[in-house]
Amino acid sequence: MAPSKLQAQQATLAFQRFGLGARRGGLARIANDPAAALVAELDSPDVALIKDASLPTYAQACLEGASPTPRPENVRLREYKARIAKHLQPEIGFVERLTIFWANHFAMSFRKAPLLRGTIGQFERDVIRRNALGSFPQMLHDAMRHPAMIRYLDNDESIGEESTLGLKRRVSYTENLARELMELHTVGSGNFTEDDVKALAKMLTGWSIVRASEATPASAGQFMFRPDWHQPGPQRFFGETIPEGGMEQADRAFAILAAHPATARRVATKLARHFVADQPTEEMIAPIAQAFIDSGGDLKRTAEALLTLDAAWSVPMAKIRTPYEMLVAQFRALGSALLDEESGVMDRILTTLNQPTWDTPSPEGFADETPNWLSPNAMAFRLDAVQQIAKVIGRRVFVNPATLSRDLFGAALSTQTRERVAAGGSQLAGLTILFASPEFQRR
Amino acid sequence: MSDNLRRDLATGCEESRLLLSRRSMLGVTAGLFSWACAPKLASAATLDPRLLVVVLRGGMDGLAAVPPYGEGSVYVEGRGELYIRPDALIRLADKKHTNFFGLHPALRSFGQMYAAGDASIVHATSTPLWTRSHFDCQDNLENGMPPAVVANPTGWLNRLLRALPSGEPVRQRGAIEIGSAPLILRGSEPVLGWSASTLEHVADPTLYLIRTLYKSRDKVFSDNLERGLEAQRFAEGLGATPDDVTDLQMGFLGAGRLLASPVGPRIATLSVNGWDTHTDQGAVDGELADRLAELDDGLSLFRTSVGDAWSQTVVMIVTEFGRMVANNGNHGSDHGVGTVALLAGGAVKGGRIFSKWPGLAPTQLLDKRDLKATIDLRSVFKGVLREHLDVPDSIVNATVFPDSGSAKPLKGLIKGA
Repeated sequence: MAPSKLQAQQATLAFQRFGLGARRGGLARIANDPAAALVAELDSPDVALIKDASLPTYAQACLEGASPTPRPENVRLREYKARIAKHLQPEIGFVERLTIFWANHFAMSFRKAPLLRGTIGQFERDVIRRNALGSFPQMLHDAMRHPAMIRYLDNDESIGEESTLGLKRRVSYTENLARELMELHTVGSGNFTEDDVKALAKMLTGWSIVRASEATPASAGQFMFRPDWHQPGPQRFFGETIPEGGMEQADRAFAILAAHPATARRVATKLARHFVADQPTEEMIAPIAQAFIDSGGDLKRTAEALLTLDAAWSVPMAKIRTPYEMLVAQFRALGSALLDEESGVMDRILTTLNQPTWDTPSPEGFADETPNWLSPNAMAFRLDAVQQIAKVIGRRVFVNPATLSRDLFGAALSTQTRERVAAGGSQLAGLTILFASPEFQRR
Repeated sequence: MSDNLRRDLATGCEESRLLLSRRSMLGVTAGLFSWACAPKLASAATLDPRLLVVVLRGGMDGLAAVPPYGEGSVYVEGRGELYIRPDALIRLADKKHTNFFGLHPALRSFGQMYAAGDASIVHATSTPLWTRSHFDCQDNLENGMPPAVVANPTGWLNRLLRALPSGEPVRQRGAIEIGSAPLILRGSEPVLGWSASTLEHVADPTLYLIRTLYKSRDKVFSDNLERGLEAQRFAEGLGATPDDVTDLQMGFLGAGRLLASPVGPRIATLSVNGWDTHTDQGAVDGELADRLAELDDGLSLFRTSVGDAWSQTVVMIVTEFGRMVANNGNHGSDHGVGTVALLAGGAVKGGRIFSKWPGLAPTQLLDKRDLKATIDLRSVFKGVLREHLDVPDSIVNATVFPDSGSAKPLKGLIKGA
C-alpha cells in the first residue's frame, strides 16, 4: 500500500531534516516508521566509516601533504570523491549529516597549507568519522593531535618563553589554537577568561609538526611533541592547578573542557540549530545536553536524544538545505554523482553559494542559521545551480521527472509542484522545477 | 502593490508615484526620479549619497596597515619581526600629524586617494566589544549593539533603512549585499542581493513555473527570489562580467556599477576574508601585504566603475579587531583590540587622520599587549550617517545604535558637512 500523506511527510522530513535526501524507492522503504529507520542507521556497524584501502593512511596522507605539488591536491581530490561516493550509499544519510556536522565543528580550510590539502580528507575519515558515533573527548583528543589542526590553528611554531629553547633565545608562543579550542570546539565564548587562553596556549607549546629539514618518509608532515619547546611548570586553568606533565598537561585541560557543562550546552545548541531550528529553545537544548553529560560525551546517545525531541518532527520544515546538502540530494535523487570531468561545476556552485567544501572562511565553520543560505542572490542562484546539475547529469541519466517526483515524495508532493513538473515539458525543465520546489529545498 | 509603493502613494506627492517600489525600481530606465519630493531630513550633506561598507573578516592588523613609525623604539621593539621600516612606507601627513603615521606600501591606490583629499584614516578604533573573539566582535560590529548585548539577529544597516521615512531616497533605493548575506543587512527591511554568476540562468517558461510555484507555496522563497532576479537583471544590464577577474575583483567592480546607477541601490556591502594573520604575516611582503594589495586593487576597480558617482560616495573599510602589538611564535600576530578604519570616496573630507593616539609603550597598552581603542567604531559609523546620509541623531540613537550615547559621532568626516 502506498504511504499515506502523513507517512510521506514524516518520511520526507527524516530524509531532508536528518538525511541527505531520498533515493528512488527510499520513501516506500522507510515510510512505515521513519524514526526507527533513523535509529537503525545509527546502529548499523561501522556505518560512519569509509572502507577503501586505496585511500591513504595517516602516515601516507602526512607524507603526501609534505610533498611537492601536485601531490597534496591529488590526495584531496581522491578524498573528496570518496566522501561524495559515501554520501550516496546509506538509505537516509543521518550519519553522513552527523559527519558533516562534526567536520564543520572542527572546521578547517585546505587552502591554509599544502599539508592541509594532503590530510584534510584523512582527518575527516580517521578523526571525525571514527568518533562521530563514539566519544566527544576522544574526537577532541584526536583532532588536537592531528597535524592538520595544529597547522590550521597556527600552533606548530609555538614555543614557551621559559622552555629549554626559550631560555637560549627570544621566542614567543601563539594563542590561536588555545583560544579557538575553547571558544569554538568546547565551552564557547563567555565561559573562559583571557588567563585561561594564556594558560592553555602555554600548555600547548611544543605541540608541533615534523619539519621538512628533519623529516623521513616515515615521519614527514606528522604531528610531534617537542619537549624542549614546552613551557615548564604548572598552569592555573578553570580554577584548577594542572601540574607540569609534558603532553599530558594539555590532555588534562582537554578533559576539563570536554566535561564542562558549557560544552554540553554548546554541542546541544549547535545540534538543535543545525538540524531543527535557528533559535533552539530550552526544551530542545536541555535533553540533548543532558544526554551528552550523562553519557560522558557519547555522540550516538547525543544524536538519539536529538531524535526524541518533539520539535524534531515538527512541520512545516522551516529551514533550507545548505547548498552542499542540496547538491548531494540531487545526486541521490538521480542515482549518480558527477563524473570527474563534470566535477568543476560543483566547485563553482559551492563557491558562489559561499559553502566551498573543506574551505571555510574561518574556524567557526559554515553557519547554521537560515538567513546565511536563504537570501535574494542565493535564491536566484539556486535555480541556476539545480538546472546545471540536472543538465550535466541528465545528459547520461534518463528519467521521467513526474515519475521521479512521485518516487521521491509520494503523497507529500503538492498539487502545485506536481502540475508544474508535468507542465515543464522536458526532462531538464521537469527536473529543474522538481529540484527548485519547496518540497525539495526545505528541511 | 508593495508596502513601499503603498506608502509612497499615501504621501500624496505627485512625484512619489515615480518613486519606484523596490520590486519595480530595478527594471525601469533611469531618470524618472525627481528630487523635488524627497524629504530633506536635515541640512544638506552629500547630494544623493552612496555608501559601500567593506567588512574585513579575521581582524586586520591596523598597526601594519597604518604603522605609527613616529613611536620610534617602542614601535621597533614592540612589533618585533612585524616591524616595517619607515622608508618603505607611504608618508601620510595632515595638520596634526607629521612624521608619525605611514601607510603600508601595498595600499598604493588608497595612498593616492589620501593625497588627493579623497581618503582618511581613523586610528586606534575598534568595536565596543573587546573580547578578541572573531565571531562575537564581528556580530558586534554588524548588529551595532552596546557591548553588554551579546546577540541580536538584526544588522544596523537594516535597522537604519527601516527607520528612515518611506520617501527618503536612501530607503527608497535600498541596499544590496554583494556575495554573501552578512548580519549587517539582516532584518525586516527587504534588501537586494547579487553575486556574479557564471551559470546559465533558468529562463521562461521554466522560470515562470517556479516563480508561480513559490508564490503559491512559499512566500519567503518567493520574496527572496523576486528580489534576487530583479537585482540580477539590473546588475547584468549594467555590463558583462569579465572572465578574467577574481570573485573579489568582481565584487568591487559590481558594487561600483550598482551604486553608480541613478536608479540603483544606495548602500552596498562586501565582505573580504583572510585577515586572520597568525602565520607568516610578514612586513613589506608576506601574507598581509598580499591581502592589502588585493584590497587596494579592489578599491581601485571600484573607483573606476563607480565613475562620476565617486563624488557622492563613501567607502568604509572596517574590521572586527586589530592584532597584538608583538609577533607570536608563528611569524604572525594573535588577536588584539585597537585597529584602523579606512574611509575613501569623493565625499570624504580626505587627507586627515582622526586619532586620539593611545601610545605603544608597554604601560600604554591594553592588558600589556594590545593597542587600546580610543575611538569607538560606532563613532565613525555615526559620523558618516549624520554627515553623509543626513540621518537625524534621534534615529541613530534610538534604533540604529541603541545605548551608544558614549560614542559621539565623529565630526568633519565629509566634505561640505
